[in-house]
Amino acid sequence: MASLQKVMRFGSRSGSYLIGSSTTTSSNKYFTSTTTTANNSNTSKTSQVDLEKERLKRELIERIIRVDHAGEFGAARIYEGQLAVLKNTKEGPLIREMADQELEHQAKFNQLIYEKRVRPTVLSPIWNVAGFGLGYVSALMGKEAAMAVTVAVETVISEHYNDQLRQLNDHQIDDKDLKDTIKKFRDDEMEHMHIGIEHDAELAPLYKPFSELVKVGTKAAIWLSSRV
Amino acid sequence: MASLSRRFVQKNLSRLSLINCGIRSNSSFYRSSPSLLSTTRIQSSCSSSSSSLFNNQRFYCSVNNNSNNNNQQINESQQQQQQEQKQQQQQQQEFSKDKILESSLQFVNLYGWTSEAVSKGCIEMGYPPVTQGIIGDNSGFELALYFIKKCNKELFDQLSESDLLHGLSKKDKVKLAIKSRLSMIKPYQSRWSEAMQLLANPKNLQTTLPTMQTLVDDIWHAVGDRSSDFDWYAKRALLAALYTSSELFMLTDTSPEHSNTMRFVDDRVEDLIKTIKLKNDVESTVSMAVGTFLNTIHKSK
Repeated sequence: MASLQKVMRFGSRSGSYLIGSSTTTSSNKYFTSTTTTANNSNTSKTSQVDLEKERLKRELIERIIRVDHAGEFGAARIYEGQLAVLKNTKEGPLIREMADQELEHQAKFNQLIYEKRVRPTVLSPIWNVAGFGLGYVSALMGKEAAMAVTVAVETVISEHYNDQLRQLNDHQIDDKDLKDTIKKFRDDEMEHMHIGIEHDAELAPLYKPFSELVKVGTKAAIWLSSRV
Repeated sequence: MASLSRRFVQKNLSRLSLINCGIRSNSSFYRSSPSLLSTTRIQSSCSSSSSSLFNNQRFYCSVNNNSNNNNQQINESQQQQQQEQKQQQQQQQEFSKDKILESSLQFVNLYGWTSEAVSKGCIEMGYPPVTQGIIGDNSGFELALYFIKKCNKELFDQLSESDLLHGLSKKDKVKLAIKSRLSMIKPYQSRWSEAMQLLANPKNLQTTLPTMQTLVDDIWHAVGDRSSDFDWYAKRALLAALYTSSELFMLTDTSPEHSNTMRFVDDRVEDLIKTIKLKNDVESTVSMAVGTFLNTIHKSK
């Protein structure tokens, strides 16, 4: 039956060629052979395509949960590092509040990791130390620098959450719980960013290069955490 | 002009006959061939005027398009049927594979984890012994792999459905899970060393390691462990080591009811919990020390 269709296609094609010029038979032969292979692969691979799609969806969800968990963990560590220096200043309670919110987020992703049985990232010990170090060092540079780090990190994270929402939509994954979680957390991170800007983040020394550096570092961490 | 168009039609005719030769084996071609042939006949009869040639071409194309649409519809429905058949076939094959392997398990104690056991299983099912070929080249290994996968699944079902683990401490839950998994090997204990050798073969490690991962992951999930940092990896690695060593211990255990193995498992699980606790203690001590150190630096400033 497939070959009949092939002949018909061949016929209509050669018919249209009649008006133009005489084409060689070899090119037509090539055309028919490509249609046959396409037909064959269609029939045998459709069941595999579904499986492949499911696998991709699962992989995407795993990546999202893994990287978000790592991100919230890292953010909480940054605030801890800042608190170690700025605990007794005017900004102390504010940072404490943001840190508590991050811990809340982290608890939610902990739960998701357990429920959906996702492997957490191997690099968490590194993020533990690196996050704390970044927070501590930036706080030593002054409260403006600490706020600049907050702004840079939260910008990247909220952009990343938006990307994830887009990816979930593209792959038609209807996981309402996950989507709502991401949406809520994105709004929280945006709020942190605004708090940072209100508290003179842009007055930090070398604000532009410094925040670009932190942004690049955060993006690299995201790239690594979603994969390893 | 007339001679040109004649040459054209001739060329076309020769092309059609070419197709005819190529697809002769398919009977469905003949159903459509009359229409094709009639168009060429019309073409050759009015080859003298070029305008009628073009008309015929249009006719020629339209005929083709109509039948093309119909055929595509038929084709699609047939393709769907073929797909369903293929899926069914695949499922049946998987199913019969599992059935053959299942029936082969009873011959393991006589013939070991070998292709002989699988062919005996085929005979038991009423198939000729050559049927073991569908299992693959390495049917002894496939048999062992099937067995451990089955055991893992059974264990997971046991742990997740019943109230078996309700009210037990974490330690006891792990002990219970390991013990019930070990007890599944008991019927084949005399031949288990061969299976372990097959499974630990470097050639097969790629397929066996994921099964071990499933086992330890299932156990920790059933226990309700919620660690999500590096502990996650440490716990799984330690439990895999623990399970493998208990299996090895069981091979040479001749005590009644494997009481020595059970004691071995109890002791090792205690060790495991202690190790994890020690790791966490060290971690918290280090972080506290760092915190105090940073504090003193900060104050001295």
